[in-house]
Amino acid sequence: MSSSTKALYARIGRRETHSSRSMLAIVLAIILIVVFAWVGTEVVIALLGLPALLVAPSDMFASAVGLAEQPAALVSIAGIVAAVIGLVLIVLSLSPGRRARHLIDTERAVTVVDNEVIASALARHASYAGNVDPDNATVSVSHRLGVVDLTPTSGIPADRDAVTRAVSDQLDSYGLRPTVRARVRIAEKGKVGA
Amino acid sequence: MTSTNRFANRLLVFVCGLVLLVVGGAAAAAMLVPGIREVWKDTGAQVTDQVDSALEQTRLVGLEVSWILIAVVALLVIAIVVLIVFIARHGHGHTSRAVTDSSGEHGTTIVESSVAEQALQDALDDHSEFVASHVSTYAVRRTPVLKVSVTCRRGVSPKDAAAIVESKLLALDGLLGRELPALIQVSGGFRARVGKTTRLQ
Amino acid sequence: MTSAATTPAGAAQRGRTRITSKALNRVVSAVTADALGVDANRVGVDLADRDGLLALTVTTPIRVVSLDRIQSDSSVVNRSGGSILDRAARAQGDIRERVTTLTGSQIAQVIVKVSGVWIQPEERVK
Repeated sequence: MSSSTKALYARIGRRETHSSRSMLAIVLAIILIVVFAWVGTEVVIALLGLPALLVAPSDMFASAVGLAEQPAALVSIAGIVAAVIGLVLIVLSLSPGRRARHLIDTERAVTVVDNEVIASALARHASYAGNVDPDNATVSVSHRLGVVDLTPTSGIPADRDAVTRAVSDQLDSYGLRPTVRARVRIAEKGKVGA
Repeated sequence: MTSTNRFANRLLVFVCGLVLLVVGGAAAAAMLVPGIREVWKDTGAQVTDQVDSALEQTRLVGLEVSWILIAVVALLVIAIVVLIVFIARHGHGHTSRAVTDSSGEHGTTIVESSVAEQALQDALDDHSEFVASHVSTYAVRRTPVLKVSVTCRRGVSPKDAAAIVESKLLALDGLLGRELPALIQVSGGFRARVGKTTRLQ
Repeated sequence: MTSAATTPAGAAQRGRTRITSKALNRVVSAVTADALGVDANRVGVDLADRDGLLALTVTTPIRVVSLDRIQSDSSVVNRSGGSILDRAARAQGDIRERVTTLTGSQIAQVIVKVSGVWIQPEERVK
């Protein structure tokens, strides 16, 4: 693979595994458009000498300057809520926003896999190794961990080590990036005749 | 794989967040912290006077309005236009040309995206491992890149899925006479508990 | 036969043979269809002037075997005339040669746009 293709794949891989924050940005942009349009309209109306739509710009300014005289409870609550929302937005803008996906090391192309596909394949192997019906194996795959929950058949104990080995072997064979570790939990109560 | 500017997205969210934090925090502080409250009250009259005189001084000849207010409106309009353009530029990125070869002595060969898309689609339809597949072509950093999206049946190994698609891509390389960069997207779609689980004999 | 009688320039001294653009279209379609294994009526030809020279743009699908076939037997690509880029380049050469022979027109360039594939089993060698 040429270095330019490698760089291309790195970019694609990064974008496919992280959130674009598009939804949030577009919602904010729409809100801003509405607010700006309203304020602009109010200013234009005031300049033309017409009565205000909702709040005249001079009143807006006056209440901002005279904030201290407003009812304390309302303003402080609004202020705190706004500040908290602001903080949340800042965090969202800076956090990576990882998607429920993994990259697979491949020769020819860059491959991105939904975690649920990995989980479904692991569930199949886990249920086989644990002698249970596939319906009794639940797997959830997160960024670094694959948690396997098995409900054994009553009377047929499941070998936790065998299941862990089977699942780990599978995970290794996939070549996931970042690597995923297996964690197997066998339920205390089994299911009869499963 | 679209050409959406993600940095711009995050920048907008960050700036909005910062403004809300600062304004909200200032308002709450003005209310709750007695020291700040006093300062706000005291400087209130001063600020009002300064703004009034500024508006007075900047009155346009003939009209009775300050050009500052007109500038404010203009800025708001510009901001709205920029935001609309920002929204509109989301998505996009498809390209209709997969290969452009001008090296021939007799002319140029252009291979359209539908060539690779149709060939791959036809080959992928045969495989029972996939419930659905879709091929499209995007321009990433001005390079055409194939996006092969496959939806797997329950229990299919992602490695197997990727291997199948890669073998088709290698065949395509031979057919085209050029290697196209490609993204393979493997998805499931079995969150709804409908459909047969893979029964093991 | 003297060369003067056979070259287009020579023929011009005796009288001009004009080829209508419609006829030219048909010739180009036929050559392309033959080279790329499709029906002539699927080929679109666009003739244009480029600084006094003739510029040809041909839009056409191309006949190919399925990728599964190529996967199992990679030599089938060579047997069917090479890769798509090879075949298109050869088609350009054929078109240029044919048009020049027929009309004497000077060709600026030939652009072949492959717009799709026609997936067929491998053609048996006659």
